[in-house]
Amino acid sequence: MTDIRNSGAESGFPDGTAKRQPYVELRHINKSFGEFKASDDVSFTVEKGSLVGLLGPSGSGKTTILRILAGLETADSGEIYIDGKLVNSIPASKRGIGFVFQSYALFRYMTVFDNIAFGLRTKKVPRSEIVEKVNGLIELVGLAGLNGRYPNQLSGGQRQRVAFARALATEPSLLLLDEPFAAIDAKVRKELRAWLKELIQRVGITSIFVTHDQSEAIEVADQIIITNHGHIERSGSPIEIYSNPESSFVTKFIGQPTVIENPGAFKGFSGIGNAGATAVLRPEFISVSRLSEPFRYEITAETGIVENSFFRGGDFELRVRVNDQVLTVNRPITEERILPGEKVRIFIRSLYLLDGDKAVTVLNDSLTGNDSICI
Amino acid sequence: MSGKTKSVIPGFGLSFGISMTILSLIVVIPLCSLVVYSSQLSMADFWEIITRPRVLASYKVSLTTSFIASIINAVMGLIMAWVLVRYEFPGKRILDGMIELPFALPTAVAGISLAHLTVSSGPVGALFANFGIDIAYTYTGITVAMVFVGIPFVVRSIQPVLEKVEGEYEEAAFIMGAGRFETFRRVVFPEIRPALIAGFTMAFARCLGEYGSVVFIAGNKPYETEIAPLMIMSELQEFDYPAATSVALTMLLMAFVILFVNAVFQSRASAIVGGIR
Amino acid sequence: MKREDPAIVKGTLIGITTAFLAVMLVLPLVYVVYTAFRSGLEGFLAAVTDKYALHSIYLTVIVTLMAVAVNIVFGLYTAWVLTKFSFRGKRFLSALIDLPLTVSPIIAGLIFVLTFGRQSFLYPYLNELGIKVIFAVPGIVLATVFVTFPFISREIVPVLNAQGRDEDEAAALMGAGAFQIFREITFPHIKWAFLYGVVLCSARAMGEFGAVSVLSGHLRGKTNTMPLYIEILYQGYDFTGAFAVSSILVVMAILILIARNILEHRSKSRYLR
Repeated sequence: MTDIRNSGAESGFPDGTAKRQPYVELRHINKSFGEFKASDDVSFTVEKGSLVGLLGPSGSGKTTILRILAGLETADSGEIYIDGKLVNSIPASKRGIGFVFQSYALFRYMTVFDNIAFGLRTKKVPRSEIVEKVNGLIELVGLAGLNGRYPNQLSGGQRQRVAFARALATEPSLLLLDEPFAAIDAKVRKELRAWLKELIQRVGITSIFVTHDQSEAIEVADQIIITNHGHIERSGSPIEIYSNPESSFVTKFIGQPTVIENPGAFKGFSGIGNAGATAVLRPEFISVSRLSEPFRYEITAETGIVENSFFRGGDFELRVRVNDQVLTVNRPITEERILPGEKVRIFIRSLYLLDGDKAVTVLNDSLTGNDSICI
Repeated sequence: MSGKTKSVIPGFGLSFGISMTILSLIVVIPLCSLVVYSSQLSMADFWEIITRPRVLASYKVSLTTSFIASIINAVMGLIMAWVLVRYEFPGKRILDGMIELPFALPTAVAGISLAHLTVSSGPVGALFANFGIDIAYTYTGITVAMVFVGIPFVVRSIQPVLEKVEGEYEEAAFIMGAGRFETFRRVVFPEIRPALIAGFTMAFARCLGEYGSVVFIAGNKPYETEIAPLMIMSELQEFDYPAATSVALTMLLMAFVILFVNAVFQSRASAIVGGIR
Repeated sequence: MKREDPAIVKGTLIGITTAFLAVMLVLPLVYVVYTAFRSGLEGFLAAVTDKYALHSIYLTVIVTLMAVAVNIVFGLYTAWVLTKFSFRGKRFLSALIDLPLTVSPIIAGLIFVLTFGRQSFLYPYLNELGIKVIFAVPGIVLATVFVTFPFISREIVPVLNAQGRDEDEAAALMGAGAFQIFREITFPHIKWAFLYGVVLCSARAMGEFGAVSVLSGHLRGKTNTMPLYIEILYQGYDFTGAFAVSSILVVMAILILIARNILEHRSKSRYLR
């Protein structure tokens, strides 16, 4: 985190910076519900205009962070800055925030139009202006012609669009979305992700959304913040996080991880040695081939027996037993199908070695040129 | 209030203030005055009052008749709930709508009607008098009035549960080869048992305290057909407040014991089954 | 496929139910109306237009209206507090509200006698101010409010709990005040449950006998509500009069049942949508 204290004064904020001023900043936020610690010294910053995904398993405190930011919950300690202003004591409705609830929280006794107009009416915007603005928003979210419908007459996806338009109506400077896709069925969810991302970019509003679905965070967000047990595990761009998870928790959370014991027993990793070590493998780290097929890494290949093979549409997922451990491997559908019981060759290109809270990438010796394995 | 977690929804202060004010005026202060007044009684006096033979007799009348009436209501309530949930037949909606009549009809009206019907000169009473059975002014009469009062409790507490058990759950047992009665006994009944107990205890507590529909049919003969609430009433009419208060406290205690037993049952049941929802 | 019970079982159980309800509920009801008109229409009209009868009807209406009004205010505010906020002591508060349901009406009457009666420390002050609570109309109203106390809030609370707080939070985030949230978001949702509670509350208020009986002091023509007046007539062996006045309450009870069923149906179908 940049220390924003020793920076230029021309921004006008007592402790602000001129250029790399983060738009949203949380500093040492703590929040407990009884015995349960929902936020444990949470600090992070969000750049203006970025789309941030708060990702974590359920109960990891991501929604709490969002609600504290919105002012729906009050932090026990810590500071919240939005646009350089300390907003701790500013009521939720004055923070300039648009909030999309997981359930959408549409007013079920109001039409689509009235739902979107609600915030404007509260702000005593003149009627003619409201009509113009709401119709524009309805157009923007692609719901033209549905002005008079009630929420229960809409599909899940349409409801989400209404919730989104309603949140944008009062022109907030920050948009918060709590599990925006959770209530939508799988097929529509895909389309909506792309739609939401594009729309947020078009409107140009700084947005933070909460999700427990890593593929959602990876596809939609510019920046991902991973939460675990109330604290921030890791923050970075999706690609950084995916390829370099750094922490043990993130390694076991992101991708399609298989945890293995005693990685030193696998060929090409004897350098690890230590019998008590634990490592994480991902399917993309492993190549598999039939004994009859040519194989590049003959020397460092392990032999294994396929225990199970699942057809998953785009590829096959194989469970292969090697060294008494079961690894998960993907094989493209264009290759010949391998059936359970068959002997195969396996090559592990790399793995993440877990060391306490940390995770380190270890490459197979045959790729690093370390040929200690060649006798 | 200090323990309140801050909420963005406005209006807590005003609403809490108004609720608490009315609650205090109507419920808390009057109940406190009962406590304050009874604390002025000596334990010996209290004991002397609540063990007077006439008072003891009134407990016996109240407890016996309430218990019998609630048992009848439990059995009939189970049958009625079953019929109203499981079967389709003409007039079902009317029967279903009638169940709450005892709530809607003033108790005094029910009381005089039942009494006038069952005295030996009344149409029903005359019928039974032929067989030498008296209804009005006996335990039977009191029980009849209490059955009337208690009808809605069991039916209305079982009905929603029975509606949820319906279907797949029972079919599963059937497919596994359980017979009709077996299915009811082992699958359906355990599901509705907590609701049955809840309905029974609510009816029991209500019957114990019931006054209006019972006084007319009871005859109110001391030691014989005098119910406990009437005991309090007659003490009050003699302005014997210590006696009225003592009997009232004893009755409140009984009601709380009944409700407590039910609460224990319910929590045990939900610990085992985890509830239907 | 729904498994049908054998026709004999079904028939028997329906028979038992119908017979039981006919004897226990319909018979007493019909008997009231029958007895009221046994001595002809004139007898009935004379009984219900009697000066004391009219006064008891008037008093019943007044007491019911007042009790319902207090309970509406209390019920709405309490339901709002209990469902929209978390605070310590909430369970205790909600248990306290339900307490009157488990207290015998006679005891309900007794506690007001103890609070406002001659032996109460309040009595001298009230006496000085010339306020008569027990054996007078205010006492009757208080007792009636007590016995009907939980009726409205109990109907609304589950509906609001099922609704959750999201909509209210969304509205609050957009800057809406408490009154606006209640009027535009909460009330449309609880409308039917609320009316249902009002109906239940009126039914009980109109018919309350035990508690009112303790507090009225039975001043004929002065503090008699309809149920109390019926008792006096019955005990004076004026059966036609007693049943004539009762038949008015029977008609009210039937109307209440019909309203109840319509409202329950409405609130259910609304809720399921």
